[in-house]
Amino acid sequence: MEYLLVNYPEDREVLIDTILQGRTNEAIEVEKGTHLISLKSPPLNFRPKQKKITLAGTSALTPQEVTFAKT
Amino acid sequence: MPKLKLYLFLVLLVGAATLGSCSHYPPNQPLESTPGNDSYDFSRLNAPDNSDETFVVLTFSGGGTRAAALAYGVLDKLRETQIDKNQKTLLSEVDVISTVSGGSFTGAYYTLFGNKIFTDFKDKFLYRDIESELFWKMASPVNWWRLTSPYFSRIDLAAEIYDESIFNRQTYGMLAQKARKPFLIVNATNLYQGARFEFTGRQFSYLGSDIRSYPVARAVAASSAFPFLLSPISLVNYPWPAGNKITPQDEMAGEDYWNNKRRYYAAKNNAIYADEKEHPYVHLMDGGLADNLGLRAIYDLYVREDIRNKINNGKIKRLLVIVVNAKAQKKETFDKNEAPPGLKTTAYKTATVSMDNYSFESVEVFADLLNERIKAQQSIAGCQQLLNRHAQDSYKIPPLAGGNLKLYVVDLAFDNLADPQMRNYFNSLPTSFKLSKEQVDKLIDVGGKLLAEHPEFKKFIAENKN
Repeated sequence: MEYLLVNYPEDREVLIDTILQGRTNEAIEVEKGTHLISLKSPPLNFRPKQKKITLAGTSALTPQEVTFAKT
Repeated sequence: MPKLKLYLFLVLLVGAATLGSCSHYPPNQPLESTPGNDSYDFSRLNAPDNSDETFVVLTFSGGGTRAAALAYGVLDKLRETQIDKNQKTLLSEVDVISTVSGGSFTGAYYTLFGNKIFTDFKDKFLYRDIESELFWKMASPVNWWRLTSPYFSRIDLAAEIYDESIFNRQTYGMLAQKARKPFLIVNATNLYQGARFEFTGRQFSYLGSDIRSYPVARAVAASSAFPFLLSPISLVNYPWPAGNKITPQDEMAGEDYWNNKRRYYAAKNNAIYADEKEHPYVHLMDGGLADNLGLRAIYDLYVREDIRNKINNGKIKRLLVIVVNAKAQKKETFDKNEAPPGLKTTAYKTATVSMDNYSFESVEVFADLLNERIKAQQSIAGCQQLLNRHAQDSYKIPPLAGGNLKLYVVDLAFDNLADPQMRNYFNSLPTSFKLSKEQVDKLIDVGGKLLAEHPEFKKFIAENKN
């Protein structure tokens, strides 16, 4: 498994491939590979709307980080 | 008079042939609206009396009546195992049962009828000689003609027996209406790809078909359609009423050939159902051809589907997976002869060797996956302790989604038995739907014994009994 950390100034639910999985600012265990990351909305107060990433070679202590800015 | 007899004979012959050519397996129905299959989807199942905190998964392997009786013994022991002072049993905490072949009879019966299994399932299935019943049904002249149809075969007769005399004509719609756990996953094998095919709303959505009208007995028949002895169960692959069958997850996975072949091929196996012109029908055989343990379905749920979602959303606190493996190891003598074994032995070995050869590997892969999570939890906790002790500021390492899980894999197999005599006895039981009452009773007893004596199960009880 791989590890994803979604940074956002607030506690929000995270969408991975359109499914709610985990929250911002925690290491989320995700299957290795290509994923579409976003936050649950409304409110649509974040940018970018979504990010496509490829997860590989991470660990629980070194997750891949994805950052959304608050708008 | 002889002319009249000949005429009558010809009329009967033509009538019977017509009857035969009209015989058709009951086809699966098209899906008329997209939410139809949601009623039999694990993510939609909400059973208030069975919380997700203690998440219990059972997998029942193939192996004919041997597997069905062993699984029954495990269910019985879980019923006896109380987990709190309110006499709540571990059986009432079971969330998912994934089944293959012989194990599908026990899993499906328990899911449909609950604790009634402990009063009538032995007589309804375990003690019966299903093989002879199927033989006599095939020998009936009425069925000769039905069997001449290319759209009706031995497996359809078997499914009729199961439907009428075991599963009481229950459909997946009726099962969904019960809205209670466990969620049943009956596994078969798609003959075209050799891939796992599960009888769930999600899988039927790929077929553009409504699972609600489908008889549970036919799913069990497909799951136990042993190669050579029984023919495949056929399903129609309909167009999807709302357009595209491919999910966003499949689309992402389609890019992962170099990143993650397991994910890529899982999505590719789903993608063939989107090509209804090339694959208007699906033919299913014994689930053991793809995975004789039923554990692959749980692997998928854990890695990328509903168990993963529940873990990441903090719903599961402890996960117990009990793998009931009825694999036997009958002693063969063909290695004593220089001449190679005959066609019958070779065909039987060809059909069964692949089913059982790497079952233990599947368990190991799954156990490693759970250990990976435990190690991740330990790494974070250990590093945080070091930081707290040595770093000046109190930096908090981001916690793992789902927190500190307790994870247990309990693999039950005859090889676990310490007594060589007992081990040999169970390992030499045949794979058939005809065992003696004594053999069945011994299998039920040993199922409970294997569970009660497993070190990981003892650990689970010791750590989680309230």
